[in-house]
Amino acid sequence: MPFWTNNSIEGVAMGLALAHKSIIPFGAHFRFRPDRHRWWRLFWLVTLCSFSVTVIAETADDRARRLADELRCPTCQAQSVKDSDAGLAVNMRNRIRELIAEGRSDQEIRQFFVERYGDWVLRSPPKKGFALFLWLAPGVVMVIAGWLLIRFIIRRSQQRGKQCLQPLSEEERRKVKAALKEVSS
Amino acid sequence: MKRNAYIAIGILVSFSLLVILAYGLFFASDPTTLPSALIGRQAEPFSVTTFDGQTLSLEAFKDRPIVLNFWASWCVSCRQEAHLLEAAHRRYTPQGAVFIGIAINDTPEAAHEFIRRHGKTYWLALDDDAGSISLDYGVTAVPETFFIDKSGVIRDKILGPVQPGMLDAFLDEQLN
Repeated sequence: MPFWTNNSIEGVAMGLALAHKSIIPFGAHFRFRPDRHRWWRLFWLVTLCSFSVTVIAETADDRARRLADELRCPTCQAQSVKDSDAGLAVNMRNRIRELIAEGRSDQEIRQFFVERYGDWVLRSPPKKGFALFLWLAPGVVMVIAGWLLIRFIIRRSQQRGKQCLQPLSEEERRKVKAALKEVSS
Repeated sequence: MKRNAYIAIGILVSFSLLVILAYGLFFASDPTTLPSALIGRQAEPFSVTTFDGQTLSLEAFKDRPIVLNFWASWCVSCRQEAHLLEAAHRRYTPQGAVFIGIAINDTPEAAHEFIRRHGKTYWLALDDDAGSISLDYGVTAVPETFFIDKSGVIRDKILGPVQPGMLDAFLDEQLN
């Protein structure tokens, strides 16, 4: 199996070994040779290796674990199917693996459990109906609260500005004139 | 304006807290208080070998009301309801009802001992190691009992031990 289809330690080690060989070519004796492109080559190789590990290489076991983490254990409170040791959670994990082996998509697997246990079984509420409102409400509340806060701050600063730009009263004018006379004399 | 703005922000914060509370009550609630997603839907067909070696298929009981009970020998509540189910079986099976008990997450020896001790005589079988039947029925815990009507539709699900009167109410309606 090529290393890019496996996200194991070996895969990462192989990627790093290749990256190392990009600086020191295969078969070359170790000798410091200034090469201004070598760090770029190293950068791209490490980047590509990282992508190969995180994007391409999700094994069936990883997928089963991820899906089990998305499901709530029906017999225990506040635990995922992945984290629970209850018999039913173990059965659910095995069924997830079976469904993956049958070639079912993530959505089909989620749907399998939702049909039997209801939306409750999903640890993340579905983005539809009342749950969609729950998803959107905090964002909407924050936008409205932010808008009110900005409006409040602007009005307050405007009021302060207006106070500063108040025309001088007659008495103040007299005082200013008197002060100017004193300075000029 | 200053006072109004504070009031408005307070109302919004209270509202968002209420939304979070609603979320908690609905999605983080006890599954036993939620209605089953299977009620009103066709019962999933299954085939299983009973403890006495017979092949039991749900489809063989068309046009008959079925009481499908999930149990386990290690379950304390299952002991409480054992005599009720057996009594109902003796009363309603001659009238056309079907009683099926599926043991889950159990061993054949322990299940056999439970059957012998409680004198259970209806269709009894052990779910496979993968818990296929219990998963198809969305079982959350034992005991759980499904009432399946004559047309094969799940009419109700009882979480916990069945209470006197529950079986009678369903079977009297179905058989009369």
